[in-house]
Amino acid sequence: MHISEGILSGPVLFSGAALAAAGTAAGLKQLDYDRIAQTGILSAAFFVASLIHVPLGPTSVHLILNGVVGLLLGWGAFPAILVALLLQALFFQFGGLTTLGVNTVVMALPAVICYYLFSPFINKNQTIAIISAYACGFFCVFLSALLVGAALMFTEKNFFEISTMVVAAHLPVMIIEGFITMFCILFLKKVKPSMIVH
Amino acid sequence: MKKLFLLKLNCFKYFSFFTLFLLIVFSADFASAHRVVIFAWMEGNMVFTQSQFSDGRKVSNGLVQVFDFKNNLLLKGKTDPNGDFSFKIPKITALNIVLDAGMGHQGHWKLSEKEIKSSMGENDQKSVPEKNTPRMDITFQKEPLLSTKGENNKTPDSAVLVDKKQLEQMIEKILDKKIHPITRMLSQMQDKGPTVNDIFGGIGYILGLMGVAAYFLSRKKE
Repeated sequence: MHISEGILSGPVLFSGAALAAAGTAAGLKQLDYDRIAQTGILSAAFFVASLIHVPLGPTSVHLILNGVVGLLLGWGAFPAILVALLLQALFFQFGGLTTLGVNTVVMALPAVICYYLFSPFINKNQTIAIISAYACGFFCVFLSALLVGAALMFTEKNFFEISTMVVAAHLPVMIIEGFITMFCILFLKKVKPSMIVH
Repeated sequence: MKKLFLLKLNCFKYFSFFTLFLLIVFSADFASAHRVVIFAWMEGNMVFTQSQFSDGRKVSNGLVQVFDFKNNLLLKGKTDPNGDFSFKIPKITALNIVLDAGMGHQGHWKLSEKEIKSSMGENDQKSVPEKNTPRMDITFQKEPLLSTKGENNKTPDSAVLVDKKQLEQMIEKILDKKIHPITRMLSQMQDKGPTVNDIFGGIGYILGLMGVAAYFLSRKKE
């Protein structure tokens, strides 16, 4: 999911950075005192999640967790993911500093979209909550994969081919993320419902 | 209540079927790590490269492109299933070796002109023997290396003249052979992935930022 440095063209990098800046500004504006701890903890979770490799057949995939981050933070996902990605780029050399903006948009924009799509259903009855939480985790990664395809389209020129490749590669992640989001939300609903209700 | 429970159970069943189906259909070997690393070293006039993902998997069928310092493409090729790719040095210039593992994953390795010259220097001169190369005389007093026993009796004090260049080449060849496994090991150790220090350092930064944000927002509140 992390796009390396030296692949994308200037305009893509620039518009990615601009979008990420706008999203982060919106997120920071909405951030109030009571939600700082939540944002920080989810940012830390996102930061570490990429290191968790889930062995799967001959290969292994890593978690992204942007579904959970989006569902719980809304626009706050932008600053949380930006900080986590910056630290990942500095400490782990995942992605890079020039692609930070693009990578932030790739992972945070779907989080915000999924927040608007699915958060209204989380407070409904259990079955609907389960389905929408799973769908949130699933579609968040799916949308991210599409955005990677879109970002690479300008350098590799074939949106459909790249997107199918990225989506196919991340299908296992989507499925696992769906389950993780589902269990997270169910757990929080039981233990700390105030974290979900906005 | 029981109805609701059954509905839930059904729901889970469908999920697991769907999941299993997808896992079976799409569990092919796809690349989904975050980072690829290419490591290159030279032996004589060959450059060897090895490529792997951050989780240690080798990059199979990754595109390797070799550029000179002016960014002209000199040659390209694909890595084998072990992540290896080797090529003959196309010309004596600084080389930038770029690995493209697809889906936005790219790695670089640079070889400077100096490194290449020092590795290639001997091989170039091999074909053009100079007249005034310094010769080194190695004299074998009793057991000359290159003579049989019979000859030994005839010429007990035979002197074998070994060209200095030849000797250097011989040593270099043997050294290359001996060093090869070590270079390979080093290339595998190159990428160890994030350490515990990195992880806790990152979490520490996030907690610190939380503190900064809390500080400013609490001042606003007052």
